[in-house]
Amino acid sequence: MINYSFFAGEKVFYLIASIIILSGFYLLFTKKNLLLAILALEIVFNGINLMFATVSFYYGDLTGQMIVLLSLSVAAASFAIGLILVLNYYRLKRSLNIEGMTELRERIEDGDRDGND
Amino acid sequence: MARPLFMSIFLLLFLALFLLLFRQKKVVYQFLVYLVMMVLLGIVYLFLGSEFLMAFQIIVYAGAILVMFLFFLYLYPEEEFKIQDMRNSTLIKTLIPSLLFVITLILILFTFDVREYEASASVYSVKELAKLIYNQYPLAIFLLAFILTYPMIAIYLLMKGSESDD
Repeated sequence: MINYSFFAGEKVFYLIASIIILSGFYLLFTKKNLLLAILALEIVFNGINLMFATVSFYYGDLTGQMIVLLSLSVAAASFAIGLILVLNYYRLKRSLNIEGMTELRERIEDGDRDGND
Repeated sequence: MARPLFMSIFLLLFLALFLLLFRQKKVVYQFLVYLVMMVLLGIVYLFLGSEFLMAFQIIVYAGAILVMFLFFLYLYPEEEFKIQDMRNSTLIKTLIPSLLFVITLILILFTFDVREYEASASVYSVKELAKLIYNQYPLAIFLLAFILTYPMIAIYLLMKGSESDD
């Protein structure tokens, strides 16, 4: 006999949200493409939003839905800016590889290593 | 009786899409899988009694963001997306925290008893949400409108800058 109480309650929503968050993180850490990294962050955003909506529904408070609404809008805005930045980065470097983004890394010269010029 | 059935189907669909997302080698197909995922997420919002969020999710994510993403994909050459996997050592390092997360989540879900709350369906209407937005969060909506002008200005400035560079 299948126990249907798990699928009738709130736990299944948490499970779906955690699957979405996990897929986002896994995509972020395993792929080295800059465009896919932005997509992965959007997936994580969506999983967290689902958790907010679930808590809002089961705890009887509409503020969670309000937060989801604001979060979705801000995510859309940040996403557009991120895409423009990726496009400009590609125009500069002709590559979307994350591992190649080392411009801000501290470079220690041989003379500076001892604190001398 | 219909709700547990639909939720179990949705859970299976999300798991299948999760696996499909990693099995796909082409980025365009990964985006299409994500598009299906977002539409399904909108339907899950419907089960949570928030029709407005469902409409917002489908219109904003499936309609606007992912279409813009697909448009951007055509701007890049295909060679950029051929080799995209990390090294094996990185894969193992990321697999350990992911597995820890999943095991902890399953332990929490199946050992601790989460208190069940009965949601009052009359509260969850678009009218009530609109009352909440315009009475309790007017400043948040104003800030949101301000934030949403950022991408338009950024797109204009960056595109103008790139045109002058060319």
